[in-house]
Amino acid sequence: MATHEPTRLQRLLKLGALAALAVAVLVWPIYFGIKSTAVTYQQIAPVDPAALAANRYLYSEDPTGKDADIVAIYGLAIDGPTDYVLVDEALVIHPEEKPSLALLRRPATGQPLQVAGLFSRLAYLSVGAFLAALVLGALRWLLVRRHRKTMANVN
Amino acid sequence: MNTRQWLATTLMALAGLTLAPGNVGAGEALKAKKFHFGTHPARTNITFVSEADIETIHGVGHEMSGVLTVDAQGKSVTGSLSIPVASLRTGIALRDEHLRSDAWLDEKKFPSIGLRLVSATENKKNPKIWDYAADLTIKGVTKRIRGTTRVSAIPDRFSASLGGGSWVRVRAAFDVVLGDFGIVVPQTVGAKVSTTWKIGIDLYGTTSAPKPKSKSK
Repeated sequence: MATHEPTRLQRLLKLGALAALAVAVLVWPIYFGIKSTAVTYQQIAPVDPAALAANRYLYSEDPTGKDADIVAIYGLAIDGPTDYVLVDEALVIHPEEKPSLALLRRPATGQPLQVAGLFSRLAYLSVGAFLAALVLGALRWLLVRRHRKTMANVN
Repeated sequence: MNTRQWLATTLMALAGLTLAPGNVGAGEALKAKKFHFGTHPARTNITFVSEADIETIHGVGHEMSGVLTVDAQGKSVTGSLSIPVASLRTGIALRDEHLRSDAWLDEKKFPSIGLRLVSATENKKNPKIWDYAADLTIKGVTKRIRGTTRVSAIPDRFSASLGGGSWVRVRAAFDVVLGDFGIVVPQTVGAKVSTTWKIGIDLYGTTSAPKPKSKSK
């Protein structure tokens, strides 16, 4: 007599669907965990020390106190203050002219991870994993259904 | 100190004050000079930012070549600058490849972005600001842009540490509408890439001409 026991493929599909579903759900607590460590920095394309010294002198001639002018001592502001996570502390500058400012030097390669960028990547991952779970679940359901029909015919 | 010595000292001090960099417009300090740009990567910062719904792209470039010449009166500037497309970086290698592809900047056909100054004159109200008009060429399409640029003459006492010659710092920011240059953002990436990019430049030019690159044997 034929058995209703799931086949190995059915078990694999079930496992895969559950794993994909777990990924789709678990990325969010991970995201919020990482996001809670976010710090606001202003990213800059930095100048070299010789240009920095010259800029500092030029600023001292006309110390406006404006954030933009202080940032310009250290380099070119790429964008406004933005939330970043997992930042390499060695890239952070607190200008002596205004230590409350937090500048983030653009690394030679790669880029600092923005919270918004992390969100979009994890959103893609979550949606992709959820779709994968749906597909794997549907495949397993089809297989089980066919298997049952076959068993019914055999018995 | 007798009266004559005192007078001479005072006059010299007054002359020194008048010529101090903070008290003159950049044009005065830059009369009839030819400035070479892109001689040092850390003194060549070009940024481009695309702010879209779900992603902000922060791009940078550190390569440029070109010469700007200030006229004898220090009142206008001419010249052109060129940025190699291949030097632009977004922080993700695959995205850089896309940027160089024919759908975007088409680096193979148009290897550089050009900026030719049509006019640049010292602002009458603020000598640190110059008003300019320039022809920007991207992907073979040229458009006139106008704006203001901040020009700072760097005192010659920093010349040695900067590498010789007289130096000037030029900063500007402007927007580029991709569609004006025949670049169409595909609908598939519309939420990730803006149709208008914010450009920032921070350049240091020197009167010391760069040494010609030796050809590898």
